[in-house]
Amino acid sequence: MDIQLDVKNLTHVFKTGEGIRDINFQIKQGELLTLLGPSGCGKTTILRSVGGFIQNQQGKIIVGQEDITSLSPEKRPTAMVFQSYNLWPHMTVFDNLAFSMKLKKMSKDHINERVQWALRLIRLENTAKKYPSELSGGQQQRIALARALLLNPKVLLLDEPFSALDAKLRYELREELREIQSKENLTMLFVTHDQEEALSISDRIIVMNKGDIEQMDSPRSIYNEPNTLFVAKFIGKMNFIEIPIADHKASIGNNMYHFSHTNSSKLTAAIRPEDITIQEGKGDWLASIKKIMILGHYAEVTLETEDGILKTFVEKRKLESLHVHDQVSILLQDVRFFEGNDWIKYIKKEELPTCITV
Amino acid sequence: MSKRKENLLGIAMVMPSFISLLILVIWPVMISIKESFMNGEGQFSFENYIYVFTEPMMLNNIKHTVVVTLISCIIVLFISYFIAIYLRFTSSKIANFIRKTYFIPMFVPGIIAIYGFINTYRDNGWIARLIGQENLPVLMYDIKGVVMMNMWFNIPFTTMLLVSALSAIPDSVIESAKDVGATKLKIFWKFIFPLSYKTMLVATTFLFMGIVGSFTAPFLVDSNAPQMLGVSMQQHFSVYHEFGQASSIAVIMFIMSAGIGYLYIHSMMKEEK
Amino acid sequence: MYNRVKKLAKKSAVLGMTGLFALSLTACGSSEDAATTSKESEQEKTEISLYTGGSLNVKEFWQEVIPAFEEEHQNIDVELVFLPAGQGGQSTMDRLIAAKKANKDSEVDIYEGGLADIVVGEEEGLFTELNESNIPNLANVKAENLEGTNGLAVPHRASSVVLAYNSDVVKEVPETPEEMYQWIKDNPGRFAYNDPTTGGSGSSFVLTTIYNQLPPEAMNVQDESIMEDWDKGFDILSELDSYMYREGVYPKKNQGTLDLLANGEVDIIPAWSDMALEQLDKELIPENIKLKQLTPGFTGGPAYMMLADNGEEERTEAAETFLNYVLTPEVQETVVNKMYGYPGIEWEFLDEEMQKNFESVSGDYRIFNGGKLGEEVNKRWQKEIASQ
Repeated sequence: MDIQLDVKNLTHVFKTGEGIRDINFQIKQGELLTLLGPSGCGKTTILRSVGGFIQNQQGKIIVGQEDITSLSPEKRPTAMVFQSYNLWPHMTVFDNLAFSMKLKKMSKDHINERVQWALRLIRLENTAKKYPSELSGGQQQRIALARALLLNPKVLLLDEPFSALDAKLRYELREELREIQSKENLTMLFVTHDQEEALSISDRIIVMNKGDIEQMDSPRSIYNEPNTLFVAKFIGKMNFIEIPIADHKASIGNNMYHFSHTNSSKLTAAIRPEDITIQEGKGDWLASIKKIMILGHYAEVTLETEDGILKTFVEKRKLESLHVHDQVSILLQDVRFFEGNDWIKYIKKEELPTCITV
Repeated sequence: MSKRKENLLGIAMVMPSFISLLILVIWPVMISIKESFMNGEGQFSFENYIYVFTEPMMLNNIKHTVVVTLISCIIVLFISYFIAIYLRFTSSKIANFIRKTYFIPMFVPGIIAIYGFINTYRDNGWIARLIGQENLPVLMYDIKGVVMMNMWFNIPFTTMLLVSALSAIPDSVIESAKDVGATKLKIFWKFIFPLSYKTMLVATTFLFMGIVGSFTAPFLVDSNAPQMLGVSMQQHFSVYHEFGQASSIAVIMFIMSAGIGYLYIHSMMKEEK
Repeated sequence: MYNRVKKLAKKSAVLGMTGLFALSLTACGSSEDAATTSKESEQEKTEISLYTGGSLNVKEFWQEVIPAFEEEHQNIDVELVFLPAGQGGQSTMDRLIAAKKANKDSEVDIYEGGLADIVVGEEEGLFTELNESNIPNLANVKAENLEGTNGLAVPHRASSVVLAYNSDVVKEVPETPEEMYQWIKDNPGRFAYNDPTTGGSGSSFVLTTIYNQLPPEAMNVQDESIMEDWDKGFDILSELDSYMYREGVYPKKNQGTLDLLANGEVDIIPAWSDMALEQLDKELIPENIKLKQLTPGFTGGPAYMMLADNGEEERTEAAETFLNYVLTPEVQETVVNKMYGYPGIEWEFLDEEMQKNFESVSGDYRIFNGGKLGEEVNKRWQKEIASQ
C-alpha cells in the first residue's frame, strides 16, 4: 500500500529541554496511527509539527510525494481537529463548515452540497443555522471533525479530540470516528494519552516516552509483547515482580528460566493478570488469597506470594471455591522479563523437581 | 408570599446603589438641566442654548471638542489594538518587557504626567534640546499636545481591555483557521477582529466619554482658542460666573456621551438577539 | 473682586505643591489644636480664632506673626484655622452667613479675605465697623487701599503685578506701557502674558492695556457703558497678538509664563511681585530674573482682614488688638520679608534699607475696581484675542 505520511528524523527540542529527537515513522493510506504516551512525551509536538504549527528543527515530513517540511499550516494538505474550543464561536455551524470552501472561492451550490454531505456524515443535519454555543460538547467535536474532513486532507490530525468529553460520549464518538474513517478511507494521525482509546481505535500504535519512540506496533502486539518495561507499565494492567538472577538463571516458584547472558543482578518479571490461573492441586507457585474484589461479571483477586503481590482476574462462577486466606497454587501462562527497561528473552524454561501442592 | 419577600429583598439590595446614583448623579444632572434652561433672572429661557449654538466661539469649541475626541479615540484605539495584538501573539523579551510596563502611566498622577509632558516637549524642553528645536513640531499649546496627552492617559487602560479580550481568543481558534487555509490577513478580519470587536466598542465608549469631558490636559496643554468644552465650561462657570451657560455646555457634553452610550447599548442588544 | 482673582491666581500657581502638602498641612493643624486646648486651662486667657486660606506662604506668615503677638499679649490666644487652596475657601463666608442667620456664634473672630468678601459682608452685616479709635494703626494705612472697604476691613498686605525680565538679555527695560508695547514689537516671540482667564498677571496686562487708553478714574467705573471704550485697548492687544510668544500663545496660569521666562523661552512677562520674589528667594527661578514696575503701573491689590460681628465684646476687643498689632511696622516688615508682599502701611513707616530693596517694585500699582466688568474683559479677550 502507498505511504501517505513519511516522517523522517524529526527533531524539535524546546528551550526547557523537552521535545522530540530523531523520530521516524510512516502511515499508509487509510491507516489510523495513534501516538500514545503520558503528557510531555512529545506526541503533541509530533502532531503539531506535521500540522505545521511547530516548525521542526531537523528532519523531513513528506505527505504523498510532497515534502511539506517548510510549508505553513494553511498550505499543508493536512487538517487538524483540536482538543477543545474547536469551533469558531462567532460563526454558525454552516459558516464554520463552509469557511474553507469560501476561501477557495467555490460555487455556492457546491458549498451547500458539501456542507450537507458533511452534516449527514456526522448525523447532525439540523444544526446548520446554530451557533457552537447552542451545541453539546460531543456535537461540537463532530462538527469540528466534519470541518476537517471538508478540507479533503491527505492526512487528518486529531489532538486528543475526545478528552474533554465524558466516558460514554467518548466511547460513542470513538466508534463513529472508526466508522467514518473506514468509509472514507481516511489516513489519520491520532494523539491520545488514553491507552484504552488507543488500543480500541488504532491500526498501529506508537508508544512514546520522553521524546523517544518506545515501541511501534499493532495494538495486539503492543499489548501482548511490550518491548520495554515502560510500554508494559503504560499499556493495560500488569503485575511486576523483581526477582534475583544468578548464573544467568532466575526462578519464579518452581520454574527456572535460563538466559543467554545478563548484566544485572535482578530482573523484572511482568505477568498479565489474565495469564495467572488459580487452580487446585499442582501448580507453579504457592500463594495465599489476600483480597477479593467483585467487579461485575468477574473479580479481581489479590494473591500474596513469597516474591510479592500478584493480581488476577477470576470468573464469577469460579469464585465460590475461593476465600480470603486460602492457600492456593497458581499457574503462570506467560511471563515476560525485563532487564532495566529492555525486554530480555529467556532461552529455556525448566521445571524444578520440587512440586507444589496445596 | 415568599416570592414577594424575595422581590422586596431584591429591591432593598438595589436601593443603596440606586439612592447613591440618584443623589450623586441623577439629581445634579437634573439641576444642571434645569439651570441650563434659566436666564439670569431665573426664568425659563432657551437663551443659554441659543448662545452656545450661535456664538462662533462656542461653535468652534464644539467642533474642536469633537475633532480632538475623534482623533484621540482613533489614534488610541489603533495603537492600543496594535500593542494588544503584538502582546497576544509574541513572546519575545521585548514583548514581555512591554507586557510588564505598559500600564505604568496609569499609576502616574495626571497632573504630574502633564507637567512632565510639558517639560519634555515644550519648545526648549529636553527633546527639543536633543534633536534641535527646529526639528520638533509644535506640541505645546496645540491640538497635537492634547492628543498626545490623551494617548498617554488612555492607551494603557484601552490596551489592558483589548489584551484581555484577545487573550480570551483560544489559540486553537486561530490555529484551526490557519489549518483551513486562512492567511494572516483573513485570520485578522474574519476571526480576531470579530471576536474582539465587542471589547473595542466598550473601549471606544470609555475613551469617548473620558476625552469629551476631559479638563486638566486640555486646560494646560491645549491652545487658547478654540477650547475643549470642559475647559470652556469651567471658564464660563468660575471665570465668567455664567452658571446658565456653563450648565448648557455641561448638558451638551452629557448628551454627546449619552449618544455614544446609546450606540453602545444598542449594538449590545442587537448582538443579544 | 480683584483680590479674589489674584488669590485664585496664586492658588493655581502652587496647585501642584499644595496638593502634595495638603495632608501634612492638616496634620500640622491638628497638633496646633492640641496645643491651644492645653492652654485653655489658664482661664484668664481670651481665645480668638483667625480664619484664612490660600497658598502656603500665607500660613507661614501667620505662623510667624501669631506667636510674636501672643508673646506680647499674654492674655490673648490666637487660633489659626487655615484652609489650604482648593479646600473650600468659600466655606468660611458661608459659615459666617449661616451663623448670622441663625443668630449664633460663628466662632470666627477674624477673617482674612478679599474685596468681594467685604461686599458680601456688607450686604449681610457680618463684620464690625473699624476706625482709628479702636484700631489706632489704621492711620498709617495707605489711603487708596481703604477705598471700597467702607470701614469694614483692614488692608494689611498687598501685592501687584510687575514686569519680570531676563536681565541677561534685556538691557533697556521698558519704563512705561508704551515702551513695553514697542519692546514687544521689536522683539517678536519674546514676550508672553498668560491667559487672563487663568491667572491674575495676564489679566492685569489685559486690563491695564485697555484702561491705559482711558482716563485714570475709568478703573473705578462699574457701568457697562464703558465697555464701548475698550475698543482701542483691544486693538492694541490684537495688534500685539502676532508678536507674542509663538505668535499668539498664551500659557495657562501665572506659573505658565514664569516657567517660560525661567526656561529662557521668553524674556519679559508680567508676573505677581510676591510670587516672583518668593520663587527668586527659593531659587525656583534663576537669579538673572529681575522685576520692575511700570509707570503707570500694572494693577494689584490688598488682602483684607475683617472682624466678624459676634456680639462677644471680650473677643472683639482681643481681635481689635490683634488687627492693630498686624499693622505695626514689625509685622509689616514680615509681610515684606516673608510674603514678598507690599506692606499695608505707608512705606515711610518701614525700615529704610527695606524700602531700598523693594524699590524696583515699589512703584505704585493701581487697583481695578470695575467689579463684574473684569469678567466681561475676559469674555471679550477669549472671543477676540484667543481665537485670533
